[in-house]
Amino acid sequence: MNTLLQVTGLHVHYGAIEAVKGIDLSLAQGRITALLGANGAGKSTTLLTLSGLVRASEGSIDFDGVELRELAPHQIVSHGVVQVPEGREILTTLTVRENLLLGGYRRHDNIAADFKNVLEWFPRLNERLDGAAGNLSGGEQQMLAIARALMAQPRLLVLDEPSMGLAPLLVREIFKILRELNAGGLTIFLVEQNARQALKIAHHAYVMENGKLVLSAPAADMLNNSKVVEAYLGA
Amino acid sequence: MLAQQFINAISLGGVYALFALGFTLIFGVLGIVNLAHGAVFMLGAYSALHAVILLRLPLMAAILAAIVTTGAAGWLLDKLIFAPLRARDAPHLAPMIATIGLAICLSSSVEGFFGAQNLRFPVEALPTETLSLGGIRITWLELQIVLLAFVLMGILMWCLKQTRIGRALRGLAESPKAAALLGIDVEGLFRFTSVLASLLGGVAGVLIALYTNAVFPLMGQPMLHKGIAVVILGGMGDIRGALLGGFFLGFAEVFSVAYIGSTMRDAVAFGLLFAILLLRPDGLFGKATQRRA
Ligand SMILES: Nc1ncnc2c1ncn2[C@@H]1O[C@H](COP(=O)(O)OP(=O)(O)OP(=O)(O)O)[C@@H](O)[C@H]1O
Ligand SMILES: [Mg+2]
Repeated sequence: MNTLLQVTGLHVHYGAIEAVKGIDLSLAQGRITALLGANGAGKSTTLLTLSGLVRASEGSIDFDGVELRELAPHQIVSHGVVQVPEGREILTTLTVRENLLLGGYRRHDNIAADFKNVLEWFPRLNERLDGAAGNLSGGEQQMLAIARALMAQPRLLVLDEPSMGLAPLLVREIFKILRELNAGGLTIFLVEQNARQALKIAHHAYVMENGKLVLSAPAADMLNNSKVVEAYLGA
Repeated sequence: MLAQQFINAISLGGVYALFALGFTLIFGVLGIVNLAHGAVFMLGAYSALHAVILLRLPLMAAILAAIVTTGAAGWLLDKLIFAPLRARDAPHLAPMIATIGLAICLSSSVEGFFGAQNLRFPVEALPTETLSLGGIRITWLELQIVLLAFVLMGILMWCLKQTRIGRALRGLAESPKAAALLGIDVEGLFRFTSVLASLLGGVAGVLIALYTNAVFPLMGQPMLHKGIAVVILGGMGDIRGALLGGFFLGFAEVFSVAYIGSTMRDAVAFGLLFAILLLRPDGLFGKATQRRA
């Protein structure tokens, strides 16, 4: 199994607070890897560091032979690491169409085909294309966020709590789409508090606690070992 | 008579709108109240004036010279002031103080170089023909001022609405974090915004200098006050608001001069602004104040 992304000895500080305390993790090409953990464990910090929005104080982030740690966020996107952040970060004053077009901002090839493609994945967006993105419902906004990220043609799609604040039915729909995208070959790194749902679609999972990775196991094993899930995830 | 005032108001309002556009761009995108915008405006006027006097350039080339100078000033402004403060996550007041300081530096340096006196464009450099259209007289110069202001605003509005970089700018204005995650070169676009906004201010400076035929080191001061008023009236950071606010002020000034008296010009104009803000405290299109609260 090829490793697409390898994080080694990563430390991240916010001023004097150490939010990530030396983690190693690897993402297998073509797989879904989940990162689980309670509030404040350091999951979002880890993801923001991958995207260059927060700077690591130590360690390395190797993406298919490229060191990402010193790169600017837009360069990281150019290499194919694209993130759907916590809270979605939809541009509410722009239209749905404009959000999608901005998703393909760094591309110089023709994005028309992908534009059609993502609308087939998320047909609901089709009806709202020229409305303000801020008027979408929470679920639609999450779909737009994922669709927008797909417009960048990611080689690694990173998602931070895509199920947050959504009704169970919508969560299922979104996870189904993630699974289908993965079946098409996309590598996915998924942060979730919704542990059970995430473990159902993931191949491998890490559990984070207080800035450290305390568990790394195949997702199926974790799901079957209900003690683990209870102990670490309280679910 | 009424039609004549209308023309005057449109040309003056156009210049105010141009100035306010630059000011509001920097606020909307960089989140900074740039109190050096008036000094950049003054720099534009001096650049054009000296391009005409010293280099003997024709008027249009002199305006280009002003664009280059003030664009470069905008680049430096971001490089030396905004970017370092951004990198340190400085609180709101720091850039305000820094830009006040810069404004003072610029106007005193200009005063040191060129003196405090009022400079004028040489008469032979300005077009003097007058056009008569159904009883309305408009000088060729006024026409050029109006056209230039409108063309620039039109291009800018179109680019913001329709182009890739315009979309990116609007996205950046709403959320730098989202913009970065979309692959937008946030730092580069901040710098670009500062250049664009400053050269708009510079062109406004040339146009006002031509309109009033007066160039002096502190000419940016009253303009800055008007710019701030216009931008607050429009709703901080809102482009349409800045345009509308600019024209509103132009009309208020011209018509109060015509029908009330020139001494009351600013009192009437600012009184009206204040009255509107009492009715709509967030300005005509106001909501931008929520951002970076
Ligand atoms: N910008 C910041 N400045 C200072 N401390 C921060 C900042 N962001 C996060 N932290 C702290 O770093 C730690 C890790 O936060 P992080 O957001 O990475 O956790 P998380 O695992 O994503 O939590 P959640 O599940 O609630 O999203 C927390 O203690 C948090 O308070
Ligand atoms: Mg988080």
